[in-house]
Amino acid sequence: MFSLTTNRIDPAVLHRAVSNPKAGGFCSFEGWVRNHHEGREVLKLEYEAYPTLAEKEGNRILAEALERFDILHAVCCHRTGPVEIGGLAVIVCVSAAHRDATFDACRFIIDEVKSRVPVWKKEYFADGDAGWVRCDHCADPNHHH
Amino acid sequence: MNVLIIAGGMSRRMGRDKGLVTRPDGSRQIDHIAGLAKQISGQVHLSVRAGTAAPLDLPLVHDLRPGAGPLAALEAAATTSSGPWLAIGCDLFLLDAETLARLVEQRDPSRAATCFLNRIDGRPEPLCTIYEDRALVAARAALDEEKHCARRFLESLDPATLDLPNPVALDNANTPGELEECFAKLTRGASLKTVRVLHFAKLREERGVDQEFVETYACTAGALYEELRFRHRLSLESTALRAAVNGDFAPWNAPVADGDEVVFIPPVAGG
Repeated sequence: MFSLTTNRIDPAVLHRAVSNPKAGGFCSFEGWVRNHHEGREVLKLEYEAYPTLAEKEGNRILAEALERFDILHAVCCHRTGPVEIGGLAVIVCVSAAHRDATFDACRFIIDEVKSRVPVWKKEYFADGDAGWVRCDHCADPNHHH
Repeated sequence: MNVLIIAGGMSRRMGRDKGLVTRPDGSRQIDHIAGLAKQISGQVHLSVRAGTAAPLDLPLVHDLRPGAGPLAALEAAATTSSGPWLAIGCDLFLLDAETLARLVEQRDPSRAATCFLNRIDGRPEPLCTIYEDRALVAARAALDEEKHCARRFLESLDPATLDLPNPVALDNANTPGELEECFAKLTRGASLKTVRVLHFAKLREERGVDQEFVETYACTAGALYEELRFRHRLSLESTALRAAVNGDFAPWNAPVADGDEVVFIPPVAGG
C-alpha cells in the first residue's frame, strides 16, 4: 500500500504492516530531509503531490515489486506539505523469507517512486532563494543527491 | 487580387516539407491551399526557396533576400505585380473557403492590411492577410532594417482586423504533434469544450492558480497544453512534462473531452 500523509510518519506503523510469520528478513529505506543541496544550505523542504495519480502510480510500483522479487509485503509512505530538517520524508518497508530480496525490492521501490510518482519538492535556502527541484537524472541509479 | 502561397519555410521542426504533407482526405496540403486560392483569384503565385522544385504548376516567386522569411516573399511578389496581395501560409491545415471569402469581402483598402486575429492571444495573423501596396513598400523598409518578424510587421501597419468565422481556421502546425492535432480537428471536428485543469508545483506557481476551467477547441492533451503555454507564457516545454487525463498518465495525443480533468506534470522529485 502506497500512501501520502501530511502528518509525521511513524515507522513502527509501517514495520507492523509488513510483519509476517513467514518473513525471515526485513529491510527499510528512509529518506530524510537534509540541510544542504549542491553546496547550499537548506532551511526546509515542502512536498506537493497530485494525490489521485501519486497513489495510483505508487501502488503500481509496489505491485511491480511484488511481481519481480520474492517478497511477502511492501509498503511506502510519502510526506506532503512542509517537512523540517531531519524529518522523515519517505519510507519504504519490505519483508521477505530471505534477506536478498528485501534489499533489492527496497532499492527498486525507492528508485521508481522518485522518478515516476507525481510528487514535487521545493527547497527553501538559507540565502532566501527557493525553487522546485528539477532533476532529469533521478532515474539514473548512479546519480545521487 | 493576387494571391501568394508562402511555401518557402524550412519546416525544420516538422522534419519534412509542410506543403507536401498528405491530408486525411489523401490530398497534398499545397494542393488544398492552391485550390482555395483559385476559388478567389485567377492570379495565384507560389513563393518557394530558390533551387527547390515547384510542387505544382503555378507561377513561382523567388525571394530577393533568401532566408529572410515571409516579408521577403512579399517583397519579391511586389516586384512581379502591384498589390493588393493576399498572403497565405502553406501550413494552414484548417484553412477553409469561408474564411478566405470573408477576408476578401471585408477587405478595407483604406488600411494597409486586412487580417484576422489569433483566437488565443488576440494578435494579428500575418499569413492569411491582404497586404495593400503601401504595406508592400513598408515590408521592404522593414527588411532593410533587418526586421523579419511578420507578426510585428503586421501590427506596425495598424491593420483592419476581422473575427474568424471558424475559430480554428488559422491553427497552424510546426511540429508532428501539432499536425496530428490539426488532423484530429479535421476528422473529428473542432468543438468547444470545457475541461478542468489542475496545476501543481512549478506550473501552479507560474499559472498563479491551482485549478481552472479552460474553454478549448483542442482535441488532444498536447494541443491543450500548447494553448495554455501560449496564452500564459509558461516556461516549461511539453518535452519536459507528462500529461494525465482523468487521473492517469496519458500520451500527448490522448483525446480530451468536455468535462475531463487534465494535469500537466512537471518533472517529479519525490524522496
